[in-house]
Amino acid sequence: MAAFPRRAAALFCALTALATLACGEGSGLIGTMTTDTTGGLGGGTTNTLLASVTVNSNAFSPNLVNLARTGTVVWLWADTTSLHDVTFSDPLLSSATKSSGSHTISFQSSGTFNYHCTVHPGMTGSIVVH
Amino acid sequence: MEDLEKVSLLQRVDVFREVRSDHLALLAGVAQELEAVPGTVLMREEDIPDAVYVVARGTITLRILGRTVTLTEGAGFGALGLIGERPAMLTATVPGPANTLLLRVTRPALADLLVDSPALAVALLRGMAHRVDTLVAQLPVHSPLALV
Repeated sequence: MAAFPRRAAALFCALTALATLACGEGSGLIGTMTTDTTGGLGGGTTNTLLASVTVNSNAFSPNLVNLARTGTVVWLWADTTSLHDVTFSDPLLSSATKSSGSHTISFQSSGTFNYHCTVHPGMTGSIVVH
Repeated sequence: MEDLEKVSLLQRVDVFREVRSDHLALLAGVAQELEAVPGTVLMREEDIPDAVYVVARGTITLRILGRTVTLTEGAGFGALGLIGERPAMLTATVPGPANTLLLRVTRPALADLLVDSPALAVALLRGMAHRVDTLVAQLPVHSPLALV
């Protein structure tokens, strides 16, 4: 007999959630594109290559990302106790200095893209696009 | 990937099980293809998902409440967190050694379809109800969550 109230409650929650979905925006990882030179993460029939880098207390992990072709890299802040940033020579690619969230860049051309954290001088990384 | 193949994958996902084929075709039309390299973190438990993901090729490792689950082709994740706008309660990573191909339906894309297609919203509700039923059925009888 307890099954019906449980189901009713679940359906009510689902209805509320769907109504919210139609009106609101989320704060997910990859959707928060801060820099996007391709117009989005794929779309239609495009197959977008994706990699992520974790921003730890004193290091980017991995600090070297090899992309077999042009693609997208997402930096994920894991160390919420201190400030970090992802700084390239091109300021348009660089992130804000922050302690949480993510930063996403779509790399459109091949090459080696070095970056560092301005708060922690030894904290460096590279993206190599083949 | 052809749209027909995308439809075939989407209809295998629990929350899309009640969605009509024409609506699945709409979802397939907005689904993005991602090829994630090993080590890529697609979702973290403390973050609110911004998309539903479906494994198209390869595997995904989920860490849920201390357990590890491996997802293979046709499995989806992120729907409940996306729709409920609550933390994912799971961490999804690409284990490797090969890249994993995924379909991704974003929140804005799904929201646009729901506004245009109330029938899709109803079908999604049914799918979510089924998903919740499945999860509740897995709870121990004495679990306090079973009284919710």
